[in-house]
Amino acid sequence: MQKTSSQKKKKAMSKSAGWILLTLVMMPCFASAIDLKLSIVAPDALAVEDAVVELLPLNADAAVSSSGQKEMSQQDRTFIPFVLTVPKGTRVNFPNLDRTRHHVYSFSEPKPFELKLYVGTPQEPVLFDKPGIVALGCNIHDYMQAFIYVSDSSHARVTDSEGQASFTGLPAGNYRLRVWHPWQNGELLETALTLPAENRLLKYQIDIDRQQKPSAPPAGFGGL
Amino acid sequence: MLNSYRIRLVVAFVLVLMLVQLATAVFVLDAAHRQQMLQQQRTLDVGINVFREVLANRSLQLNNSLSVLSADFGFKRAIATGESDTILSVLENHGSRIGADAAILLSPDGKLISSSIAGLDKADIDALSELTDSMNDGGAARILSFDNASYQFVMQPVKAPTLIAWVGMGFVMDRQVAQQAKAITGVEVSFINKDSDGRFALQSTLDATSQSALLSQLNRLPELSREAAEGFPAHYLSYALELDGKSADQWVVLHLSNLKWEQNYEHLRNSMLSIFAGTLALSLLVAAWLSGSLTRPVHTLVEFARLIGQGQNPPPIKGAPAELAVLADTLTVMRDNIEARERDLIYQSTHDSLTGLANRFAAKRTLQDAGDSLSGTLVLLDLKHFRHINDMIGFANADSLLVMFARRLETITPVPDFLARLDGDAFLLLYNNGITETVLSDAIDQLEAPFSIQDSNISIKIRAGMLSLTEHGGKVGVLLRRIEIALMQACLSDTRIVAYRTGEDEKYQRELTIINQLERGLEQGQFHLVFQPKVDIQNNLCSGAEALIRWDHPELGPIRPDEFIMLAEHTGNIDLISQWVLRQAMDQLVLWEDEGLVGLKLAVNLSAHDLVNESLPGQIAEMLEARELAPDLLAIEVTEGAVMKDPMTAVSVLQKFRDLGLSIAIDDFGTGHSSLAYLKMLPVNEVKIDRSFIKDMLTNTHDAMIVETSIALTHSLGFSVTAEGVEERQTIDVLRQQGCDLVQGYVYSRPLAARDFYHWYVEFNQQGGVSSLT
Repeated sequence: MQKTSSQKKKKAMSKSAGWILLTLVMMPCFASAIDLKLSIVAPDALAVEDAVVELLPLNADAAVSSSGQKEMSQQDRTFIPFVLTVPKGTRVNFPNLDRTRHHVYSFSEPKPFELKLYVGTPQEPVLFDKPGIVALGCNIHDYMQAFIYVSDSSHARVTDSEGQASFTGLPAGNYRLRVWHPWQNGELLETALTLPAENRLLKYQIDIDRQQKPSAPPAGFGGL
Repeated sequence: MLNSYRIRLVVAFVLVLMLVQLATAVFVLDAAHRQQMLQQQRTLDVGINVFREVLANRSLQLNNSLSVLSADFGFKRAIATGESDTILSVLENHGSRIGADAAILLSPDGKLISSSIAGLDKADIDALSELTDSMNDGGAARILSFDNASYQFVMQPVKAPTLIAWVGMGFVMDRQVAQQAKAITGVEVSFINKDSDGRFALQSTLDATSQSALLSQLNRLPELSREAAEGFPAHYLSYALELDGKSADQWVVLHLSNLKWEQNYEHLRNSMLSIFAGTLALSLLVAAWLSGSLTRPVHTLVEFARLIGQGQNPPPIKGAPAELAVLADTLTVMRDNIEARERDLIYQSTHDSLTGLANRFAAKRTLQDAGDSLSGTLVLLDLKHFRHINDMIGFANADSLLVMFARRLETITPVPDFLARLDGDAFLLLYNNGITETVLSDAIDQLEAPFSIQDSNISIKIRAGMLSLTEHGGKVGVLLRRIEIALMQACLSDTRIVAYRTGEDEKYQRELTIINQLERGLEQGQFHLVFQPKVDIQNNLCSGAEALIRWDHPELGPIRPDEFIMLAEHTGNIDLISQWVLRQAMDQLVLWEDEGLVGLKLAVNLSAHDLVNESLPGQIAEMLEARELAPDLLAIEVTEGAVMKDPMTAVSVLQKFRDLGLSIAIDDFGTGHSSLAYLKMLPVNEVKIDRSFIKDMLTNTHDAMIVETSIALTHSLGFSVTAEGVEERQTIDVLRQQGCDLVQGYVYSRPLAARDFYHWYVEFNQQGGVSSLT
């Protein structure tokens, strides 16, 4: 569950703005291809997993379209992964690894869709052609939840369990940095970033309500 | 009777009982009322708690229903379309599935998306939005007021799978809900809603009458929410709850019927009333009985006292309490004492204390009581000269004599039918069958037998008056007066027995008056002395005077001396007169001496009684001594007859006078029966020739001769001669020639009062006794 009160959101925003810390780490300098590592932490200094970090070049060639495929599988009545980033134009498959059927749907504005009760992999993958955040649910398993972040740029990563996301071969230039997390308080974080930066590891702090990642409850009628 | 002992007891008893009962009833009823109230309160408290539980359960159920609804995929999908018409219709559609009366949709940040209720204002939306905050625990409910109705509102999130909206459903709190709550709680339930315009809406399980009663006193709601109270409506104990803590416009009132316990209370009260009445009646009976048993002895005593008060002799009270018995005994003793005293008083009032005979009072009453049946003869006895007997033997012995006389009276023959001592020595006898003079005389003979007193015999003489009651009836006063007259006559005539004869009343009335009033007249100064000069005709000088007594009675006028003196002699009072005259004469001598009238010889008359009073010479001596008078200034004149009554005693008494130095003259010489031989024996100085001889001596030669002879004879015995009653001057000359010494009579002067005598004396002696001759 998430805090939804507008009041609390505003409060959290001002709080997070105050808490943005930019830590510059000295990094070796390359002429054309730049490697960059970003670390996302919560105010409690713990690493934030499943945060989406997107670098949006301000150059003309920024608008990149992908024609690749990604997967959002369902196993043990859980979406895997919890957060998936795809550049816009990407097709995503929803293979069902469980023996039970799933009914995956999304009412999110970038891509409302519905994959009615199916087993195995649906025949057609779903195309995500508009950038934005798509919340996924299963109509017969209310607790199943996942997010697909449809990015404008191809430079989008999800932080690992260390809260880190690595970029390689980034061209130098000015970027807009966006950080988003499903449990995030307030709007997604956007800031300007110029590469090459003095440090190769950049650390950002966002405010989140830490929650249990969705997973299947024990079978039967005891749980939700 | 209201102030009677018994009524007071009963009233006090019943009052105390009533007070106790009243207090008991008040306390019991009050305790019962409080107990009932407490019980009702507890029952209502249970009802309140159950009601809260009902409300909470309902909210849980509604939440559950709504959560199922909000998880419905179609619902979510319809919401996700964002089309207001679609949303409104899905709200209505799905709302009706769970029987909601209102449905609204809020955005995740609390903005109104859609509503089935028109005209929601910001406050309403804020209230709903706030409700979402408390939803985290799986659902809560709030009672919200819309359009003058209360709704139980629940809200649930719409997740797809993230939160896309809040859906809220409202369930109106109507009569049906109240009925359901009533079914569970067991108490009547009323929902009251007040809208912003102040209109009230009531949804209640109560009947219409009670509902309208409720609506008329809605201002009591805040009070009822603090404490349960009665009368909202009548016969209910009610408690008000605010349905929504945030506004005071929605209430639920729980009513617990009082009817049952009111009936119980009434039953209890009626029972107590009947017990009260029963006890009161019983207590009245008991009090009446008890007070009766308490007061019965008192009543008995009262009756007892009443009988005693009437002079009766009631039987003693049996079985009375000790105190009352004592009182009764005291009353009896008191009555006995009073009776004894009364007997004494009656005895004393009717009996003579000395002799024990009936007294004058009793005698009068006896005669009075006999009235017309009175018959026979009354006899009044008198002891002759009892006064002298008294003087001789002393009062104590005289009393003894009277007692003995009384005893003898009781035993004489014939025995009198009634006997009384009227006073002193007067005894009244009544012979119912009459008595003749002869028989009475015999009886008197018995009485006159000598009495032996202190070894000496005392003889008495008795005079008796008789009154025949058959001849002379009348009132008691008249009877007594008549018999006293008869007795008086006996005394005066010195007759043993005198019977009353008709017509003697008036004469003896005067005599009685004189006799009875003599002593008082002496004391009151009705008597005075006058003085008649005695002139020495040889020297033509006044040398003495005779003191004569006069009585001016206030009613009878002047009374002649021979009248009252005779009566006094007969009744034995003459010595009083003699004593008085002696004192007066001596006092006058003293007065005259002080005025310079020296050497006058004053003569006083003594009676025959005085001549047998052997103590008189001593008394006279004391009187002279007390006044320091020379004895030769006093002369005693006694009649020839007086001396002749008891010559022996008279001579010895006269001798004593002589021894004292007094002059003694024989008065009225020539009138007595005595022979001249006695003169020789008498110790006298002077002889007074009676006026009867002097009066006619100028014309009657016999008289003149008697006078001349008497003078000669007297002179020969050595006595001086006085001629009395001389009225003419020629007589003086004759007497002077015959050698008479003194002359007394009108020719010189009538008897004069003391002052006049003084003037006459002075004048006569200064002029040589000539000019005063008339």
